[in-house]
Amino acid sequence: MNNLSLIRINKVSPYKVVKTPNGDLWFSTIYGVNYSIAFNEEFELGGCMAYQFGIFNKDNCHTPYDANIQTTIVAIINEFFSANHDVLLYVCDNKDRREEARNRLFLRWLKQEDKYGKYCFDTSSAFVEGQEIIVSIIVERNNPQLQDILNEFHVVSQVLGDKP
Amino acid sequence: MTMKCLSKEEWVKKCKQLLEHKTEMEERFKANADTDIYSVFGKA
Repeated sequence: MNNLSLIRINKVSPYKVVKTPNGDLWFSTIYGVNYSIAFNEEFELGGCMAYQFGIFNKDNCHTPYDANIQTTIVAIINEFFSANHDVLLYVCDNKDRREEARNRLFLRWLKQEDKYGKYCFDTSSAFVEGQEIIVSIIVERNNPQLQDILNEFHVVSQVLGDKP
Repeated sequence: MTMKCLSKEEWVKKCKQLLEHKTEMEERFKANADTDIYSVFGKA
């Protein structure tokens, strides 16, 4: 994965984003809540590399609505696609309903900020040893491999979508 | 070989790896969850 530019991110991000030694991106809100955005290279999908990313904050941390969190995370995602014309995977399992809600919230944030329809989204659930996991992909619409990526994602979804 | 050629078992393995990697990322966060990140990783 190509390096993400903190300079470009922090030009548009309301919260200052810093990088940890292992490459994760962190920011802290005015309420003192730390957030980590992490990326992990996974596998090829439709001829492009797919990177899983995760958003983590401290469990049970309830704070007032803060639009700056959304804007900061979207700034990081936009920088990912500026530096990497690949695929993002967002994964959650259904053991934690809050996580599922966070998944929906994140995708809603990104769609709200995607005013020019730059991104294509798709979501599927898979059954892995009796456990349902939900996988969302995000790809730039101008990715030359877009159709191959979506086609392969659908094939894999069908393969894994049958309930055991 | 394209990824479409992978068997269901191979995709199941990849999905399990996704969940493992997610746990690893989360563990990295938990290890430093209460850190004053701007002091440790950079000035605000």
